This record gives sequence, structure tokens and C-alpha cells, in this order.
Amino acid sequence: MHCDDAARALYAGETLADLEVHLSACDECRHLSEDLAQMNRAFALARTDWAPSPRFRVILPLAPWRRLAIAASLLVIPLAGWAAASVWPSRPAYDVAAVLEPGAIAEPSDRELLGALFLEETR
Amino acid sequence: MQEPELIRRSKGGSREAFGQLVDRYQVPVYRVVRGILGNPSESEDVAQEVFLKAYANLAKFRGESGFFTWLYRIAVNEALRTRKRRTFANADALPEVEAPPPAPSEEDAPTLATLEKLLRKLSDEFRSIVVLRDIEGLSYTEIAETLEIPIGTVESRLFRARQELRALWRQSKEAKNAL
Repeated sequence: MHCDDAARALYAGETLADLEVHLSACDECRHLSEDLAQMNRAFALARTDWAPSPRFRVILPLAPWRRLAIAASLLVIPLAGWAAASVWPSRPAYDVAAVLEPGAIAEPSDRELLGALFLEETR
Repeated sequence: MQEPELIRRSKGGSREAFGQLVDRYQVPVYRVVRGILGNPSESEDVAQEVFLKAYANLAKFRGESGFFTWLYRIAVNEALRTRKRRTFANADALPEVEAPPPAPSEEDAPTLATLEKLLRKLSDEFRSIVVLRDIEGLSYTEIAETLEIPIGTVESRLFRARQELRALWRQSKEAKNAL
């Protein structure tokens, strides 16, 4: 076997019948065979060692209809809030004092009574 | 669930089905990108980009080639594009490898580190074909589909790529022995 044929077979990963015989007699081709074997071990290591980190996650974009739904809900929330505010006004439309029982109105404090007396006297 | 069914459902808009395809292929896609780029964390970003592109272009996948060869094609193109962009934009700013990968054992460590270093010295064409064949184990036909080149070109390119890689390997070994 010629060295060129041996090299071609070695690079292609072929196992020819007379290759072993040639390798036992040819230092250059034997070195090539050893180097390729080492390289193959390194490739095998890369296969097992090269992996993404455990925290790696592929994040896919949302489907268009989901994006639309989210946008719609974001629009609906403030609209609903505005509608609720207009239906239920924050201040009651009637006079609170008018509907309260007279007894429920708080007694005037001492300070208020003194103030009233003082005004009376100055008049 | 079988792959054709997952692809069919993904095309119909099922994120869950596509998620299963992602689970199936995220490691090999990462490996291809990593082999071409050499940078672990950048490879994760590019792998993410590959799946986003695949998801966005799923309607264009007609099933004439295998799904994984289609995905690998996107991965190779995306990795090469990133590499080119990096070279043109700022060659010095981003190192190709941040740190040596964690080694399985002390004896193996130099071998894998050497491989990574030497792969970076190969041209884009040679590096891609070596990664697809020797790391991913694709057949010549699958490589031809992935790279969209004739099988004869796959054979000759792979032969030359291995020849060059071996020459670099020998140089590196001799340099190590000389120390």
C-alpha cells in the first residue's frame, strides 16, 4: 500500500485490509493514525462537554393572538376603571346632614361653645 | 410525539409543540454554534437567535430536507454571521473564548482545549464541516443538505479540513514536546 492511499483511508475513517500492515511498517502514517485517533477523542469530549449552561432557556415570542389579547386587556383595564368611576361618583349627590338623625350629630365641643359665648359678648 | 406531528403543530402556531422541538435540538444546535464561535456564553445567545429564526420561518420549511438539517443550516449561517460581524465590528473587544471549558479530567483537559484552539485557526468553511461531521456526526448527505453543497464537495472539503487540522495538531504537539 502506498502512503497516499493509507492517508486517504485514514482521513476518511476507512479500514482497509492492508492498512494495518502498512502502519506497522511506516512511521509517518502511524503518526498520522495516532494523531487522528487523538483528534477523534477530542471530538468525542466536545460532544459530551459542550452543552449550554443549566439556566439556558429558549424564550419564544408570544403568538400574535396572545399579544393582541394582552394589549386588549391592558386597554380594557383603564377603560373599565374610567367607566366605573363615571357610574359611581365619588361624592354623594344628596346632603349627608339631611339624612342623618339629629342624635347622630356630634355635640358641640367646649371650645366651640366658648367661641360662641365670646362672640355674643363682643356684640 | 413524533417529529413530523410536532412540526405540523408548530406550523399551526403551537408554541408547546415547538417547545418540544427546542428541547430536542437545543444541545446539538448549541454545540454547532459553539464549535464555530468558540465562545460559550455568546453561543447561548446565538442558539436562542437560531430558534427564534426557525420559529419565525417555520412556514418556509417544506420538509424537502430533514428538520434538523434545516435547523443546522440556520445555526451554521447564524454563527458565521455573528463571527463576521464580530470580526468587522470590534475584533479586540470580545475574546473568542472567555475561559477554558470545565475539563472532564486532568488528562483530557489539554486535548479539548487544544481542539478548541485549533478549530479557531481553521477557515469558516473548514470549521463548519469539521463540526458537522466530526462533532455532530452528520452523514455526507446530511452535510450536503445543511451546507447546500454537492456531496463531492463535502468529501473533498472534509478531507482538506482534516488535513489542515491534523497539521495544526502536529505543530501544537511538537511545540508542547519542545517545552
